[in-house]
Amino acid sequence: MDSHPDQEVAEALEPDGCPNQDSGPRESFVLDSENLKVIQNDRERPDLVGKCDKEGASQGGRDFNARCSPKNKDIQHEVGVQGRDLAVACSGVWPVLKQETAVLDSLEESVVQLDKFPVPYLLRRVLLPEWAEINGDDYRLLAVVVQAVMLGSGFLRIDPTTRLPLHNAPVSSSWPKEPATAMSLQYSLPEILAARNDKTFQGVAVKLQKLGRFVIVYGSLTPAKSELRRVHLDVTAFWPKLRLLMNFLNGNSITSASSMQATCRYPERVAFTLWNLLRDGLVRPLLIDLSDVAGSRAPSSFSDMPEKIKLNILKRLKGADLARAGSVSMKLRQLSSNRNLWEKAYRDDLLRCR
Amino acid sequence: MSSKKKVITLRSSDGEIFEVEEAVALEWLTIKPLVESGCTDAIPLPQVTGNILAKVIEYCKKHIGASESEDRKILYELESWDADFIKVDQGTLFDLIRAADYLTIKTLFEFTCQTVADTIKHKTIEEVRHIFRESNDFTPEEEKEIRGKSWWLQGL
Repeated sequence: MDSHPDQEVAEALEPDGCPNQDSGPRESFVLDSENLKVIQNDRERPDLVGKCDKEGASQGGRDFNARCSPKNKDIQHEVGVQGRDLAVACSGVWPVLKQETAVLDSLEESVVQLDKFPVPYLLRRVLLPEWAEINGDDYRLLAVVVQAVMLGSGFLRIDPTTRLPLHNAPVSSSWPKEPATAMSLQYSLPEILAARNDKTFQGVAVKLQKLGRFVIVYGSLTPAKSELRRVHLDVTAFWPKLRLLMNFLNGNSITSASSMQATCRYPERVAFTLWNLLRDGLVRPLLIDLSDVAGSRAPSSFSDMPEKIKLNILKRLKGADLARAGSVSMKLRQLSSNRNLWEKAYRDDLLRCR
Repeated sequence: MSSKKKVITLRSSDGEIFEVEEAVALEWLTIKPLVESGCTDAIPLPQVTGNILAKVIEYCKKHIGASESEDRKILYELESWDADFIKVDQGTLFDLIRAADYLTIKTLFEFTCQTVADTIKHKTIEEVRHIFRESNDFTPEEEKEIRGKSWWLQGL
């Protein structure tokens, strides 16, 4: 007997307040984590219930279980329709997931030797040339990184007094002589500079401030017209890893590959994380603020994508991320209440747990 | 095709002219029929600006042939090349998505969409709102209700 198509589709988690798209009969199973026995409680499909009862009686629970599973064993667990059921089910299932990813990680690690790790742009093109100038100072390092992210997003650094662009001038040329705890950099956009109207000059000022083990990076428009953007960076979280990596890339023998591996599994991820933190938390908001003020075209963003593209992005999210996205705004809530999205997120989450 | 290195001319929305090999252009399903029909004029792409088209061409040139490779080393290098390629600001990223959608370049479209999805992974609602430039248009009551009902989200 072929498995019913409905059974192959995990029941989507219904976002609260959106009981729509509830079409056709559906089965719901309760997951018994002990023996993964699937209990069916369906009133809308008497044919199935009857069959299962009969078979269950004659062949025992295990056969019933096997029969209820789709041929390819895609999905055989169905969890209830409420969010809290998901949480309960997941609490039992996450440890398995963690175990599996740990196994995967170790497999990957054996394949990917450390001397072949992809050197992120940040390290290769930005930090390597200025490494000598940074001279072991975490604060200077951050200034270099901020500069790189700003330039990467289309900003130009300008001289604070003359307001002329400093093309490709390294940050190191302008940092304070003695160890300082605050430093300021000025940026603007090429199109604003091209307009060259001194009266309505617009730009952004980025300040780095050192506070204990944190460096706080502030950004604001000049003249100040918007809220202050800031990112807190915990220096102790990434500095040791970055230093190890850089020493390694510089060919210093003080760091052997094995000791590095002992420190962190994927050291190069530090560079990606740092880059993303600064870009999403500081640079991009500044770019948007400045474009708004300067009247230039604001960069494209999620909100002005066509629905088709939005859905394509949302369908790649896990259940928890999808739920969070749905809590962002009315539009997104409506969009993310799509039943197919939830079915897919649910199925993927469950498959990962297997 | 008859000549191996036939070149296709493309014109971006801001009038820039690009030349790509026919093999690359054939991967773009939107213009594929035009290319196959032997069109020799510059193909206008009114929805793609020059800088984005340059990125798209860069990506497709790199990926042509390489994506199907079985060689782990090549795939691995391609992956790290991709990671560098996509280090662009969000505006450019969404422009790329739009261009990939318009030109029907499946690999680029999948890759860029996945990149956006990855950026909002494990982010708080407030952070997602910020990244997506969405404004909070819920009434206080609605927000309370959402947060109340999604209590299990907090721990995940």
